[in-house]
This record gives sequence, C-alpha cells and structure tokens, in this order.
Amino acid sequence: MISPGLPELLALVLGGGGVAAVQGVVKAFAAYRDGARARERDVLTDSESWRRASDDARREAERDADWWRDRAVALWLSCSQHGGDPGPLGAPPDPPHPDHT
Amino acid sequence: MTAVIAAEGGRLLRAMTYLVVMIGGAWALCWPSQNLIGYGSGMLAIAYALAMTVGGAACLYGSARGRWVGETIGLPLVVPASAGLSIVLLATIGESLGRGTVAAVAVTCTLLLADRWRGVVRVARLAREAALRDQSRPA
Repeated sequence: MISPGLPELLALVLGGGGVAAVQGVVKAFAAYRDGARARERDVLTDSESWRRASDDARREAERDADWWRDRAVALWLSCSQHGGDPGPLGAPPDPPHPDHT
Repeated sequence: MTAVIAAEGGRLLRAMTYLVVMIGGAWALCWPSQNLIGYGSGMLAIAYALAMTVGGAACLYGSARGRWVGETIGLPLVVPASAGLSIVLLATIGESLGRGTVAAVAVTCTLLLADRWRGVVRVARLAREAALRDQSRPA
C-alpha cells in the first residue's frame, strides 16, 4: 500500500535537490569569477593551522589549570602541616571565561 | 572543522564512493528501482537515477581533480536522491521488517553524504570570502 503523501514527498525532496544543484552551479560560477579557485588550498591549509593553534591553546590552558590546582593543594597542605588552620575552601568561583563575562 | 577533514586526504576513497554512486545511478537507469516505482512513480524512479548518475559524475570529476566545485554541484543532487530512497525504505518498513537493515544503511549513507556536502559548502564559502578579501585589499 502506498503511504499517503509519499510520492509528493519524494517529488519535493528530489525537486529541492534540483533547485539546490542549480544554486550550486550559480554559486560556483560566482565564486570562480571572484577568484576563489586560487584560494581553495589556502583555505584548507588555514583551517588546519587554526585547528592546530586552537588545540595547542587548549592544551596550554589545561596545563596552566593543572599547575594552579597543584599549587593550591600544595599551599593548603603547607598551611595544614605548619600549624595553620585553613578554613573550608568551598566551591571555586567561576573561571574568567569570556562566555561568563 | 569539516574543512580540516577535507584536507586530511581520502580523495581516492571519495572518488571511489562517487564512482559507486554513479554506477548505482546508471544501474537504476537501466533497471529502475521497483521500490521507487511502486511507492512513487516511474518518473520519480527515472529522476532518482538521473540525479545519482549526474550528481555522482560531477562529484567524481571534482574529487579526481581535487576541486570542491564538482561536489558543490553534485552533492545537492546525490543527497536528496539518497534521502528519497531512504524515505521510501523507512516508510515501507512495516511491510517487510527485513528492510530495516537496508533502510539503516541508506540513512547512514545519506547522513554521511550530507555531512560532506556541509563541509564542501563551508570550504567554498571560505574560499570565496578569502578571494573577496584579496580583491578589496589595496594593491
């Protein structure tokens, strides 16, 4: 049994694809006219270098966070072992992330 | 990020994928899909076959040349064609439960191709923006 609306849905999907393909032709033509062809490889190389830079920055930030965490623990232990009486630390404040400011 | 994936090789694999798509389309032109004829129409089956053949050929050309333009034009044809077949298989799964496996494979292929389409569109857009920036820069 043919589901109601199925042929129409298929025609819509395939028709939409045809329209998108025509748009693709127009956009490709416009992009080539603007000289995008010469920049394709640069874009890929740039994207890869940005990704590497982003990964490096993330790793460095994680290393920094680990270092400060270790340092905080060392200070807390030092206070405890040398007669200090550190109070409860409580929940840490939010980091100065750009999304939070 | 998808643009990066495009830079990480796999051109031969992509070309093989599109070759199979094109062969599948040509096959469907010679022996149209009975599913599409039965649940759609003869015209839809031919449109599906043409979309797969032309789109696959365009993508294959682009992959072989290492240019995104082939996929920019071909994938908009291939993805909806593949989605159409997936829809038919999914919509008629109740008639034969064994069709579920084929439907899942078809949906997977559609989603992977759609992801590739998204990546190619992004590369094309970035390349055009870079070219326009070059043009607007004083010599």
